[in-house]
Amino acid sequence: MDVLRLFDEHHALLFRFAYRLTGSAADAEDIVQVCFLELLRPECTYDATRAPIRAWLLGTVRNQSLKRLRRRAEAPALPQPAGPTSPERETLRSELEAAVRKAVLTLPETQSEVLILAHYEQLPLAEIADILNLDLGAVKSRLQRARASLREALAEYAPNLERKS
Amino acid sequence: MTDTDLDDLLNAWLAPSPDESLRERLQAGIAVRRPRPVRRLLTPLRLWAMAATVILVVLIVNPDAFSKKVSTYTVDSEVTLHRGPEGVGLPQRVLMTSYNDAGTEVLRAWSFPDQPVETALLKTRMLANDTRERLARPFEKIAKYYYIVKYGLATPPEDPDDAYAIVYPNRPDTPLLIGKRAALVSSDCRTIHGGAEVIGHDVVMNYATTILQQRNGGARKLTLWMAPELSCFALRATIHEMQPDGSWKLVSEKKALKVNVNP
Repeated sequence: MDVLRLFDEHHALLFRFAYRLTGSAADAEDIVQVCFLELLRPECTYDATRAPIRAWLLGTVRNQSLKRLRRRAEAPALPQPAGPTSPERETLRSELEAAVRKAVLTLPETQSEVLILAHYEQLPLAEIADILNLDLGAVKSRLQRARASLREALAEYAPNLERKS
Repeated sequence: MTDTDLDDLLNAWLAPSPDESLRERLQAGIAVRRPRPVRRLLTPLRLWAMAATVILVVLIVNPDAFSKKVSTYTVDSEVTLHRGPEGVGLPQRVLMTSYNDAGTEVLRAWSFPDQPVETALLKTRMLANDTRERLARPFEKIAKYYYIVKYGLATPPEDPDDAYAIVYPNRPDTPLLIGKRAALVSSDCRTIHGGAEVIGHDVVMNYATTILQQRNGGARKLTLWMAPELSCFALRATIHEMQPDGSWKLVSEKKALKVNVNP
């Protein structure tokens, strides 16, 4: 199996998915690396006859990300934003970006993973269902709940609404 | 907030690009984890070592494995086993191909015709027994020398196993020792141990034969038609057993069917 060729084809998508699940670029890079090395293990579970490689890779990234999130949850520190944190130096855009990031990361994992794959990666819902081992109805309902939660969390940033601050 | 508004808001969260070094790090990880290719395991030196080990094991198990004995003839024979009513279902016939090597019969092939299962079972059992004996032989020798050295026990010199002549008069798994090979061949098949006597001469398959008869304990008699020209090969062999009324009953008879010269 040509792992480097697969890396070239899929690493950007996997990195973005891992980054948005964990909120950490360093973790995302580690996860992507682990994910491809997993393919070389003799006990690797990938079966080309059962699932396309992209679905398997995304599933592996998801599992690795959830592992890291759980480990992190046991530690007291919360994930820090990637950009500058000083309010004086933050532009409006970075403030909005930080707010969205926080809102997505505080969603339940079951909702955030669906939202990231559907909104940010624009994957068809049927493929998301395959990746997450869900039926299509569950994917739709999780996506709706995620969007409803985000609507509420980000209401103050809606362009047509007044700031409540 | 409309769906479009929400989408616009969500799009504000941009993902960075992975570090350029990620590919190189993965390559380094692959180099560490990649299983060693088979060709590196099978270096020429290791192949030679493996071959030498296999040959050594084969020689221990079967010292004659690589000795090429050339026979100038083989004989196809048929054995008929005259079993009583208790032998129903058991093999009644045996086909053998064999030759004599300086007075001792060497089996090349055998089978129970039309009974492949019995043939396979017996061959498997014989192979297992033979292998077990060959494996045990070196240890027996070591044990013997150990006792000689430790206790000064000297055993009388023994004849090597191949000093004795063997015949297969009925079954491939019941060879009979009939005396010393050298004496048998040098006497034109007139001498075998156990009080055997020459009871006549005959011609079998156009070969002159000496008929030797040996009685074992009086209740059994083995008769062999041995051809001096074929290194004392028994072209015919019969075994009789004494019945309670004192009569002799033929229990097995081996007959040469064909002599293949220069097979």
